[in-house]
Amino acid sequence: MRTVTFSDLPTARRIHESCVPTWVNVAPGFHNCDGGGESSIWSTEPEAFATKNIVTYFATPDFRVFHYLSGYWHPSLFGKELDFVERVRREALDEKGRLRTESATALRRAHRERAGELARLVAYFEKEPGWSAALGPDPVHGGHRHDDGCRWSLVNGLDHLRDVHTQFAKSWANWPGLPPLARLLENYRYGNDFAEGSPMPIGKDLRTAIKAR
Amino acid sequence: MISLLLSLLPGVADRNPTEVAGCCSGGVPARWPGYKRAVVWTEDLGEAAARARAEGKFLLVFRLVGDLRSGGT
Repeated sequence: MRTVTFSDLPTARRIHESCVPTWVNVAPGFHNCDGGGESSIWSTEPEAFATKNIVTYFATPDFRVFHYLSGYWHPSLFGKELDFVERVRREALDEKGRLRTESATALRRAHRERAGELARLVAYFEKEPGWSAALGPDPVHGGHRHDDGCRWSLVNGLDHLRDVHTQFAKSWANWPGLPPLARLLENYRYGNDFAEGSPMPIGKDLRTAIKAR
Repeated sequence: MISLLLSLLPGVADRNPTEVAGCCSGGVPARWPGYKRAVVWTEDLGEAAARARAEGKFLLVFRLVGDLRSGGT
């Protein structure tokens, strides 16, 4: 996600209902002076750029990750992943807000079903000549017209999401085997050749905060 | 001279804000007016985890390019 989606009020309300939002630095103090980037995204309303240098993780309070997605997603598409997070919250938490020990089955099922939906969407956008109809009209503020660029970004992004859900369904949803946030942060630092991030390892403060829990 | 040498080292230069005319003032970039307008961020990871536990919620952890306090995106 990029900050533009987190500046969408309806999206923010939904996030706060299910999550406590926090953030981590790639490099303290770093910024890229790309002042026009956010305003351009806000006004043109692209569907998605699944770049790997920006990642949104969903985790339990003990820093076990049960879902993540890379890059920027328009609020309407990010909302579908929030649907998934809300489903997990409904089906896998106990009355004290902890993942139940027996939640592995529910988690695997939820990931498997979402992966199946996404596989169908990828196939649709790859092959269906009338694909743009599925996106509805062009963005309401006239930001852009759907073209093959939208299609490429969507297929790329949806396939990334399908892959993440599939990984969780197959490999990571075996309670208590959810991957620790620290490991994913370390392993996922170099998603793009052009990633602006620092090659430094996780900072001491972040490592200490995670291990302290 | 030291800063010049540092700026030539791979991986160091791109960690430092680049002063671009019209962007930065004192190292702080001019921000998009909508920046951080909706989601309320808990800066401390430990505090966020404690709140999530107390309120029966999950953590949303945004790993962004840069520092959210200084214009990261």
